Amino acid sequence: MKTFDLLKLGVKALLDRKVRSALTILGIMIGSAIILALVASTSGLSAGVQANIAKIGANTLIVRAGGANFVSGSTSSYQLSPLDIPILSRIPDVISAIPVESKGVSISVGGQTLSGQLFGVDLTLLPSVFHGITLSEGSYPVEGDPTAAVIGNGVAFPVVAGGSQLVGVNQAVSMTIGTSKTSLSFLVRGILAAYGSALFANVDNDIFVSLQAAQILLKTPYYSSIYIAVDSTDNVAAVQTAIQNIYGTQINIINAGSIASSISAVTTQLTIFLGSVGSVVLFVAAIGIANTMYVAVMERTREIGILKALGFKGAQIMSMFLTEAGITGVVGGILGTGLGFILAYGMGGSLNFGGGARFGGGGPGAATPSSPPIFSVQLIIFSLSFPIVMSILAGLYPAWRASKMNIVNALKYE
Amino acid sequence: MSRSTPAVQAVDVTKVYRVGHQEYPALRGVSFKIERGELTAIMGPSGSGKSTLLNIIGALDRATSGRVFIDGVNISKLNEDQLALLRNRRIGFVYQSFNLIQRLTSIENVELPLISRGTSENRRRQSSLRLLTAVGLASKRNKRPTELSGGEQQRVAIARALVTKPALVIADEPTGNLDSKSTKEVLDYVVDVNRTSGTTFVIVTHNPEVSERTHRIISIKDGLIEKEQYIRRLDMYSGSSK
Repeated sequence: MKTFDLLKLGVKALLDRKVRSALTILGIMIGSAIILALVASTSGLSAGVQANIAKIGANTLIVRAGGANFVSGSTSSYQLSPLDIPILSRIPDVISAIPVESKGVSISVGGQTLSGQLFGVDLTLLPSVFHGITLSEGSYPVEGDPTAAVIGNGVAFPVVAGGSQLVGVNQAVSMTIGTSKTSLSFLVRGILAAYGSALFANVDNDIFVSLQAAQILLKTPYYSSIYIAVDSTDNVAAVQTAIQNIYGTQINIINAGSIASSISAVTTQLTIFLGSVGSVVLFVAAIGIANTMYVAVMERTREIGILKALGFKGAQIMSMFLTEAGITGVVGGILGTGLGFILAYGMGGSLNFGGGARFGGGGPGAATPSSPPIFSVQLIIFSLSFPIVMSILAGLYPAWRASKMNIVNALKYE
Repeated sequence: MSRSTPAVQAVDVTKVYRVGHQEYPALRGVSFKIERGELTAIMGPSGSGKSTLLNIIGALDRATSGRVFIDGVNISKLNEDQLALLRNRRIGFVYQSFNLIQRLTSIENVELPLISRGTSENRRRQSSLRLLTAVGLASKRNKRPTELSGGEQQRVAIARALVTKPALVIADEPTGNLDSKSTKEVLDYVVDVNRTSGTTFVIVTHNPEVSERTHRIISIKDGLIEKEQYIRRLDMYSGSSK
């Protein structure tokens, strides 16, 4: 029996009971779509998180001053100062210790008020703190200039203004700190390219000034955090231990690499779980196929008797029914994969890690989605082939029953 | 195979149906020969075993004991796949209720036996159209069985039975659901095919209109052959009554 004839007969049989076939295919389609959408979305989320943390770097430790220690539960009043820089720099495997002073501010630009951070750091070292950061316009201010700033892309092209540019190079931007009514102005020397968020810093919404300027404005000689660059990810744990040995519970240490590993483990488990959920849906759909095929075999008992009388072998009868099941799986898998793409992008459009980075309109720095779904080749192949395999397995028993029917009894069946 | 090899030979064939601990003997030891080219009627009252006998010589069912030869081949020794092959190549079937597949057109029903053996679509279509033309239904090749009359459906079924050029055609009450006009049309065609191609026909029937146009009548009663009556010689055939 030719394969083409097998397929033709299978399609004809399915078209003969359109509604039943459509409903069966729908079940497969939904199961396949769910698997693809959930796994692709969590893969995208995981990749987005990893990319976010990579901007700080897996070999970076962030030492933060005072406050509550989540590990020990204690509260410390210790303040990071210039005295800590040589202590930390001398720890083996430490490449650099970059002090940062930051505080939440309200930024006024073009009549709009934005929430952001005043970020004080040696601006020549800014790319060491936020890997890959670049200027889209202008230049970094001269070191020590207290009146000049570099602003994040979201300050120059705020989302609230539809991505239109509200401030440019050599224009002023003002801000207030906390509840103070005193407004501070800065001359914009440079605008950063769109960057998104990096761990806890929403770079696009920040104003970057020299460390000295920040300390003067915030009236503090201390630092809010020190970014420690370690020479290798292999040495991060040792450096972290060394810092803890020096400072005990007086400071908090944020290990970006460790956070990335933890999140990766969580998203992997999440992917497995959600993939399992989708597989259960598909399994239920496969049971639907088994039921549909079983009923079809019973309804077509006489037809099976006729075919056997005409000389169709048991294996050919079985192939016919398995082909019908397989076609159901193929159609369901293809449609489900298409639906999965749509669902994944629909879910990915609302997934937003780190805050601030959103779909923007216009401007050279319009933000892009931070967590688009990721469709690996293996995932697509699985999404297309798994429904076919499930459908054929589901149809095995009914098809086998059909092949073993007694011809005389089948011909008498009403 | 020599010309003297009968188309069908049954040697002491029995068939016993077992339901639980009960046994129902449908055939009690039937022996006969049907020569090549014979048009044979099997007649008998209900429950006499004639349909059981037809199913056995048509390789649709197995005898409990005894031997059955189709074209000299002892079919009692064949496995299921071999029997399927035999049915496809050597035997055609016609039923009282036509047994066409409702969702297929006339021509698709006729070509079914050829699909099983892997014949190409072109050749299948040619053979099927030739048979449909022979039974006068070429114009209805794309009609489904529900769009045909009883007589037309039976002619499609006969075309299907003959599309593989079988040596033997088994017919179980082929005119049972037909009016007298359709009965005559079907009979005329069967007799014509028998005469021109030498195809052997074995027909189970209650209808004397059918039996009187055959070469021989085998009468069965209570699972045994009661008598055999020759109506006409094998080399003689008149178109209507004797």
